[in-house]
Amino acid sequence: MGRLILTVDDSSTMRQMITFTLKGAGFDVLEAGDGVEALEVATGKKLDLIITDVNMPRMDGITLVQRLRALPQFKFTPILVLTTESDASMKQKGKEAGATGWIVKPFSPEKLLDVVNKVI
Amino acid sequence: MSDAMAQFRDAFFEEATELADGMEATLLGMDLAAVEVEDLHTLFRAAHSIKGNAATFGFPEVAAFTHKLESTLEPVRQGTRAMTPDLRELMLQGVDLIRSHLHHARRGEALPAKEQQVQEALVARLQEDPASAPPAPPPPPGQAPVRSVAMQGGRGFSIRFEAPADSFRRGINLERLFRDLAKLGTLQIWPDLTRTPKVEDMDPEDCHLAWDIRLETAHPQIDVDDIFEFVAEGDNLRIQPLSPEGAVPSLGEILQTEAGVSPADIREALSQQKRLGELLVDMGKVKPEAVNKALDQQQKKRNQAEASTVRVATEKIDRLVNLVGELVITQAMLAQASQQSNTMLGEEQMSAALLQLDRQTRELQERVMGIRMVPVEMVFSRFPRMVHELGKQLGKDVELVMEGQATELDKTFIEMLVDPLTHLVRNAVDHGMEDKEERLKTGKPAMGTIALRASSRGGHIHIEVKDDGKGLNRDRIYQKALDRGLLQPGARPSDEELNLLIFEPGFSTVEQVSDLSGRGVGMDVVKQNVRALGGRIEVESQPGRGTLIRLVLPLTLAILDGLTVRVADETYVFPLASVLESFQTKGDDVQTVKGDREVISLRGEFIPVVRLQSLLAVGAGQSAAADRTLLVLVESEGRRAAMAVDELLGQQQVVIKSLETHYRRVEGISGATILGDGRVALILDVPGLMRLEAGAAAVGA
Repeated sequence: MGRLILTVDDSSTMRQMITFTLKGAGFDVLEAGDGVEALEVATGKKLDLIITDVNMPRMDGITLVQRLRALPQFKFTPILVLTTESDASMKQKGKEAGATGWIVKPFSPEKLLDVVNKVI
Repeated sequence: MSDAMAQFRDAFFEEATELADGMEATLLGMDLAAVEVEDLHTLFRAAHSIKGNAATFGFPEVAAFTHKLESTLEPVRQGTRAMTPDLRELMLQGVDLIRSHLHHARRGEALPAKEQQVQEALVARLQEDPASAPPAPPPPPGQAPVRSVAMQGGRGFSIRFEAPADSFRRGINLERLFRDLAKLGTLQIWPDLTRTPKVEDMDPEDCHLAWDIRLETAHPQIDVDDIFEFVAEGDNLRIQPLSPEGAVPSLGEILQTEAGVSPADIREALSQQKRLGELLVDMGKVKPEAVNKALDQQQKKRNQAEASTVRVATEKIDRLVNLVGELVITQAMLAQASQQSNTMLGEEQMSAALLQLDRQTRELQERVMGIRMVPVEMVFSRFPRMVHELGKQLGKDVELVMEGQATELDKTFIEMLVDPLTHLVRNAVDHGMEDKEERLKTGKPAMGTIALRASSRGGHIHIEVKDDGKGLNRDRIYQKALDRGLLQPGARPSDEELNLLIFEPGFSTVEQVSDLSGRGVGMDVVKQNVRALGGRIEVESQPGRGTLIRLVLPLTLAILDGLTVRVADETYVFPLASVLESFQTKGDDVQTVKGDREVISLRGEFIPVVRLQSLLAVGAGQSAAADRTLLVLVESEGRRAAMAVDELLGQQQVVIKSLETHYRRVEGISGATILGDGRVALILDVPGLMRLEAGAAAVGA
C-alpha cells in the first residue's frame, strides 16, 4: 500500500510539481490550496506526511501546523514546511509550531524526495 | 586533531574567554539595588554561548558546568529569583571556574581535583535556592552498547546527540536518523539514559534520549550534519572527527571499539584517575607541599613559554604574506624598468614601481610593527576583579575607573607591567585607601576611587595609578629612610626624592604588613621592571588627598606621527600628538617681558615663546628675521608653549630609536629617528623642553 502525503500550497504550479514528483516516487498524494482546506481534507484520513507552504490565504502554514498538532490524530505525524527563507527565523517558527523539518525553496525534485525520505 | 579543527578551537577559546570576561564585567558593573534586565540577558546569553560553543567544539565538561550557571541565571532573568550579593559572588566564582576549565581544556587536561571540588561545592550552593535548577540526576549505571558492528579501517566521527525534548511532538522519526547514519558506514551506539528523569517527573511526550555514537565512514561531515538537520539545535549535537588514520588511538578509544566500553564510563574513569603527585604523596615518597611547589614551578615554566609567543590573527599574517608577494612583483617591475632606464617607457615604469614600493614598504612596516602592539587593556582587564576582591577582603568600598585601555603598547611592555601594576593597585587599595569610617570622618565619600589611566604622550606612554586616599606620610617615610640608612641624618630631600624612596627594596612604612600587599613582591619590583623598560616613575602625593604614581615608559619599538621641522641646519621631529597648530607671527606679536623672556598673546592667552635655536644651542647667530617668526604651538600636561622654528618640513611617520641605548639620556630629546635620506633627526620631548626652558628662565632670572 502506497503511503499518503497531503501537499498544501496556494500556488497550483507548485502543488502540481510536488504531486508529480511524489507520485513518480510511488506515493499517493492529496492536495489543498490553503490551511482551512487542508484541515478539511485531512480530517479522517490516515496521512503519513503533510507538506505545507507558509504564506497562504485564510490560514497560513504555521497556524496549520499548530492546528494539526492540536488534533490527536496528527500529534506525531511528520510535517514539512516549505519556506523561501534560508535564515533561521522561519525554521525556528516552524519548529516551535511543531514542524518536523523544512524544505527551502527553490528546490529540485531530487531535493524534495531526499527530505521526504528523511522524515518517513 | 586536524589543523582546521585546531584553528576553530583557538577561536573558541578566545571567544569563550572574552565572553567570560564580559560576564565578569557585567556582574561587577551591576547595581544590585536596581538590576538592569538587559544585564541579566547579557549574562545569560554569554553563559549560553559558552555552553553551546564548548559543546560544539568537544569540551563537554565546560559545557556541562556552564549549563549549570545558565540554568541558575534563567530564573533570575525571568525575575523569579533575585540577584543577591551572594549570588553575584557565586557567579563570579563560576566565571573563574569557566576560565579555569578553558585553561585546562586548552591544554587537553582535566580540571584538577581541587577545582573539581570547588566546582561541586559551587554547583551545590547554586542549587540551594529552590527556584534554581533542579539537581542533576544520579550518575549513570554502566551501559553496554546496543549494537556493535565489526571494525573497519578508516576515519569517521564521534558523535554525541541529545534528542530535542519536543522530538516526538514534532513528529521526528529518531529511528530513521540511525538508519540513515548506518548507510554512511559502520555504527556503534551507546544510549545515555542519565538524562531521563524519574518516572513520576516524566512527561511521556518529552524525549530524554541521548546517545554516544561512533561512526566509521569515509563520508565528509556535511553528510552527517545533513542527517541531523532537523534535530540539531546547536548544543545538543557534537560531531568530532575520529583521530586521523595512522594516529595511535588512545586506550579509551580502543576499549570503546573492541570491548564496547561506553564513552560515559571512560569519562568517569578518567575523572577518578589519580595524578602523579597524589600517587607519590599516597606512597609517602614526597610531601604534599613539595608537590605543590613543583606544580607551581611547572606552571611558571608554562606561562613563560606562553608569554614568549605572540598570538597573531591569521588575517594579519595573510596580509603580510600578500604584501611580500606584491613586493616580489614590484621588484620584478623595477628590474625590468632598470634595463630600459634610458627610454621614456622605462622611466615611467620605474617611477610607477617606485611609488608602489613606497606604499608597500610603508604598509609592511606598519603591519610588522602592529604584530607586536597590543592594547593595554590586556593588563587592565584583570583589575576590576582584583579591586573588587580586595575591597571585599579589607571591608573597603572601592571603585575602579579606567581610561585609555585602547592605548597600544609593545607586548614585552605589557608582560613586564603586569607585576608592577598589580602591586601598585593592590597597594593603593590596601595602604592608600582609608577605612570607611576614617573616610567619612574626614568628609570624603565612603566609596574610594582608584583611577587607572593609560595615555600616549610626546613619545612616551604614561600609565597612572591614582587613589583618593590619605596620601603618603612624609614624616614616616623620612624616619624609615633614616632607619634603613637610605638617608643620611640631616639630609633634606625634596618631596619628590622622598616619595621615590618607597620604591627602594625592603621599604615598607606599614608596621603590620598585611597578608595582601606583603606577598612576594615589594614596591622595588615596580622600580626594577620600569627601569628595565627604560622608563621612570613619578610620584605626586598630597596628604589627605591621595597619591598618583605615574609610570613613564618610552616607546622604544613604536612608530610616531611626527612633524619634521628645521632649526638652523638641523632637522627635528615634534610628536604630532603634542602639536596644536603652527603659524607665522607678524610685526610685534611677540613681546618681551621680564627683560628677556618672550611671550605671544594668542586669543587672549599669553604663551611663552621658546627659541629652539638657543635652547638646543644650534646655529647660533643665524637667527631669522625678528619680525617674522614661525611658531609651533605645542601642549603637554596642560601647559602650552610656542616653539620658534625656522621651517616646517612636513608630516611623516618616523620609527623611534632610543637615544638612551645608543648614547645617553638627553633632556628635551625623547629619541632619534632615521630620515629618508639616511640622516639622523632627533625627536623632541615637549615636556622636557618646557622643563629645560623653565630651568633656563630660572637661571636667567
